Amino acid sequence: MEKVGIIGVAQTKYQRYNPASHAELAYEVTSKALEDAGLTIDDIDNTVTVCNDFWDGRTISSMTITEATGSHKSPTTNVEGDGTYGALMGLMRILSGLHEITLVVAQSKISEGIPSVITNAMFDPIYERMLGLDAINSAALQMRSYMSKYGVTEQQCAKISVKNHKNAKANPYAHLAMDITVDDVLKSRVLADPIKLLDASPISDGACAIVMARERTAKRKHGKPIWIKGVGHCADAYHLGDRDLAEVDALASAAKRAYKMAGIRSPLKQIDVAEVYDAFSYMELMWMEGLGFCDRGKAGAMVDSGLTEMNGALPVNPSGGVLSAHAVQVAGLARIAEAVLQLRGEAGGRQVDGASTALAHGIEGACGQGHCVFILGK
Amino acid sequence: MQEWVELSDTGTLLTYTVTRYAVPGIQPLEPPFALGIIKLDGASTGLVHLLGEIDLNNISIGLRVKAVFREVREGNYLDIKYFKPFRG
Repeated sequence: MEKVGIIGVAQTKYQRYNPASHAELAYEVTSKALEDAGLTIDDIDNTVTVCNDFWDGRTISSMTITEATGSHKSPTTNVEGDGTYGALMGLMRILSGLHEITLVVAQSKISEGIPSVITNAMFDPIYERMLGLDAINSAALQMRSYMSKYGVTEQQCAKISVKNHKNAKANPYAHLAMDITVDDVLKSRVLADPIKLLDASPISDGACAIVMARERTAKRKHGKPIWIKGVGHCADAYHLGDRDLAEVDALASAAKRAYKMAGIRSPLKQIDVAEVYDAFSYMELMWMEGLGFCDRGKAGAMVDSGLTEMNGALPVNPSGGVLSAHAVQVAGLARIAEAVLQLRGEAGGRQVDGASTALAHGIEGACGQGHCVFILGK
Repeated sequence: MQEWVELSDTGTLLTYTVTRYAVPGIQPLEPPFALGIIKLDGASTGLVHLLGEIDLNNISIGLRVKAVFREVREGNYLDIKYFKPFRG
């Protein structure tokens, strides 16, 4: 694959309610990402937005942020999905040979909607939607299935929440940064058992943007581009009953493709830091398995060993992850932005010393139906 | 696969949850209510549905369940009212 570099990143602070409009959020990160890249909007010859009509509360919502992203001046396409897929589209547009510098923008104003009503609408209107399924209780079905199959405990899941909310204290963009205990998680209000309030990510307003460029342009325009070394994506079946919810085959397939492209044979040894889409505590455990950091069913034991803590061999979600800030559509792109900061050595208090290879991961659909994995390097 | 396969109205619970929060407009029952994935006898995959006539604090994977149908057919998925525990 021809080298493509990430030369600009920006995020807003994530919060429960941001009075800015969705277009203002998009404008903030567009401006900051351009500034970070040392570019102006006139340098951008391709834009990818990451808008979803349901979350944005209007149809053809990508058309509402053309001025805010400056994309009225260049070709623009929209990806309706997680931000990692927006980055994937941006990468493909550059690799097509048609574009030099691509801006990818994702924004989310969840505070304007009712998340469970919106996530209920991702289910089949004839069958599953009528059951009141949404992102939370469908995830509860998966968490139960995973715990039961492999003997993973609620305590092990709770440790993810403790770790990530603590990590978030060093991330100025995080929404929920706090010191909590495993007991706090276990005693928090049950939403849909076994998922408790502190097993679940918050709902956050916020935005993220990245700027990508082909190799020669990236080198010319920016002192230290971060290179996309590999990418892979894959999706499982749609209906929950058609899947083994305790398994992570789609993620394993996505990871395998990304690793092959990046020349990674031993992910635990070769990857220095991972930012994964932990919408719920148990998901981080499952995604560790799908990403090949441990065998199936062994992520609980890996977390018990402290390996994924900030001082462990593979810090996972130094930013605090999605558990500490969940702007839907944005969160996967934020994983990429955080990975870039780590590789630049600009992650401040959440910096993993000497990080030279990073993994960023996004999901879409119920219970992590689809996965997109990026491997980034210096 | 070309032929229709007739399935039983009984099956086994693969996973479950009890929803304990209210979302006006989308939930078929007042919370708390139970949902599960049921593998019908004769099927190779599961289906998600409601669990009824059940102690919400005493549900377990592997439970045998049987479909309870609505008295008057309305032509939608909730013509199966829910699945209830059943011995057999």
